[in-house]
Amino acid sequence: MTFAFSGVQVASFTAAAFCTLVLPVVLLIVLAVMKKIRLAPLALGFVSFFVSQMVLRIPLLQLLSAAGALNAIAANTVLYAVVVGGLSAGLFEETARLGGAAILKNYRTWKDMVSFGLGHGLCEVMLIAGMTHVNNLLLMAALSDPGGPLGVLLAGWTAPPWNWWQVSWRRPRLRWWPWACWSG
Amino acid sequence: MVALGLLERVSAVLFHLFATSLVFTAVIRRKPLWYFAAVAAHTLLNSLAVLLAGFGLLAVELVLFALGLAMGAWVLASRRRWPA
Repeated sequence: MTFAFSGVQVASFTAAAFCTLVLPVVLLIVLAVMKKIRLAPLALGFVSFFVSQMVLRIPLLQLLSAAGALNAIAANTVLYAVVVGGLSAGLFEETARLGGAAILKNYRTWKDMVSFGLGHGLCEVMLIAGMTHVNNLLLMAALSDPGGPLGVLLAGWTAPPWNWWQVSWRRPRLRWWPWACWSG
Repeated sequence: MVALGLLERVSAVLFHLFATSLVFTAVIRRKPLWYFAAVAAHTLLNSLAVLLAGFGLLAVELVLFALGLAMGAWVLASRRRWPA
């Protein structure tokens, strides 16, 4: 089954991918050249988001969800939103920020704080939003031409995201599957 | 729809600057209360996005953007208290 996407749809996703992947990099380069940010806190901000969310929290929530551990509170939307959506994100991310701030003993100025915050925030923009838009563009390309190379490649990827490590070990070409999972 | 998503991302980055400011303050002044304030703010913001969903996407994004602007203004206003 082939899907036809309008030029506006393709342009919208392309613009969104550009704004969430390319613009942050351009912004950081401009700020670094103008010496408005410092690279060490910026890099640690990136790492703190990546470790707290992509390595720890998101896989943990996927595991708990698959094991049914969140079923008890899933029925209550408010509780689920506050505990799973809010409190877990707050604990993981702020603790990662705390660790980063503790490590940056000689980087405690306003510029360092802004650098760390930008690193953390723009890492989220690029990995969560940016990769989602890339994912959407790839899916659009695959759905527009199911018999093409992208359509054939994606047609074989039916594993649920929670066991991506099992799939990637068996099929080496799916090594980047975690990124597709995390990008949603 | 894409513009709303980008608006949401701007709000998120402003929040990250605000939360970083709180956590750095907690470490510099050795006062854990600032850390817990950051956790509470993060919990509130993430929860609001879901709890206000019934009012429509535009309303949610505008509320989050307004909060983001307020947090960004607080970060700018606190600049003088930081070491140079």
